[in-house]
Amino acid sequence: MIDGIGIDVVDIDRFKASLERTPGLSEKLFTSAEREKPVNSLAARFAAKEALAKALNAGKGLSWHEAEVVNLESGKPAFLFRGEIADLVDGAEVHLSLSHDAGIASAMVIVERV
Amino acid sequence: MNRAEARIDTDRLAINIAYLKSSSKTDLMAVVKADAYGHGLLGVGLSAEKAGADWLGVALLEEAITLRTHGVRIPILAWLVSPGADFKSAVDHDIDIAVASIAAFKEVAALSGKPRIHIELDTGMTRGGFLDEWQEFLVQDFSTVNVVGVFSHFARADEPSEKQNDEQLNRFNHMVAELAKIGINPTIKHLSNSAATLKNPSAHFNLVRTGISMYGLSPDVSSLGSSRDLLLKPVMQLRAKLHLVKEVPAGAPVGYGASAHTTQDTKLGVVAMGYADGIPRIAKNVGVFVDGRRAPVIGRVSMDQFVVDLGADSTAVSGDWVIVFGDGSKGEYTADDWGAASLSINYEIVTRIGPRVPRIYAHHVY
Repeated sequence: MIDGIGIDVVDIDRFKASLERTPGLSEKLFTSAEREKPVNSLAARFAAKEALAKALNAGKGLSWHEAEVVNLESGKPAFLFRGEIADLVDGAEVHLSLSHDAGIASAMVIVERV
Repeated sequence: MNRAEARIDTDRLAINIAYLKSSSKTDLMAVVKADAYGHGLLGVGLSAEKAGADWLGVALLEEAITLRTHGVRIPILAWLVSPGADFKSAVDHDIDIAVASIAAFKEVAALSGKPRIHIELDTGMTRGGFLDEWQEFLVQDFSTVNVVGVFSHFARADEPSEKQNDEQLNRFNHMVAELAKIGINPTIKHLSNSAATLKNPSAHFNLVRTGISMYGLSPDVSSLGSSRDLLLKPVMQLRAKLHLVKEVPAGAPVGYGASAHTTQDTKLGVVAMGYADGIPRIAKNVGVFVDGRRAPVIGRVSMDQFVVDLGADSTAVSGDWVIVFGDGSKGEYTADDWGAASLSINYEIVTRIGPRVPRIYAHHVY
């Protein structure tokens, strides 16, 4: 059954400006593998992490590195969880969908539990 | 219609590979020997390559050649190739060969085409690799080979606090230094299996070899915890058809040797898999998942079938799928459970699934 949903949108240009303006922000938000991606992918990943926090009903203070977004060979994105976020997820199936168009990156997350 | 299927979730395979690579921060060798631990050599080998595996690792030369001739492009290492083998075909197919004896080295070094070799060291497991012959090996002529790698294998990586792990790592570093003294500096050093990949960063070097963990299974359930504890996702789900369902009175003897009797009026299901398909004959206190609940094995497992106690009120009918093992998320038994139920381990459960059981690949099985 569906245990939580989350959605988030990010203005790609504004996000790019934030990354450029704030030293260390990219390192704080993204793992080294994620940081190899272009900025629109990073914006979508940021949206994914925000959407995840909503879907898990998690407060502030979670480590952004503990939910890493990867692309599977099928093209589908997926989360890798670690640490406290893995404890919160607790074996749930977490579905992720990303999209970007018209300068906006968006993400939707569904947490499914048996 | 299949009567039994091993369903392989390629998205989960990709997630496990991504997770392990992200954990080790090194290149990853996907170990696909033994028919990819029962998951299917080609299906897994090709999927692993697409999912970002940097190397494939196998035991036998023929496994490597099968992968290469079916389109695998990443490097492949075969590490159980004995003297007298067709080493030339390894060179012809651009396959890396592990060398663990002077006899094998001499055969490989005599070939043209600069064979690519990995030197296998016995750092304390006392199985493959150089131990006593080491000094003799160091005076060989290496000019005709390309020493790509040097490697060894842990005996107790699934017990991270055992001091043998440190001893093996120290011996590995020592032997690598001895190679360097004679001018051999392989680009690639690899020592970590799944357990060390998850638990021992000091042994990662620049390549880790992951087998069981890539399939989403724990290297050792008792010392390291379950798949879920390790954040791994089981890749295989094994399911079979109920051949028939019958109502049986209390006290009925079930199966060869009448080793079990029904204790009450019940419904029994005959599952169309047996020990010829890798279902352990001695399995006890395990079973299948059907109709939203567990149905335990009753009586002895036969060659092609076994019987489960569905319970008197079960609504299961012949033709229904039963899950023999899965990831456990719905309450189904796991490969770990089947291992424990047959005095074995999850590795053996998945690896011994027989050739009559088709492997079905899909992005989503669970």
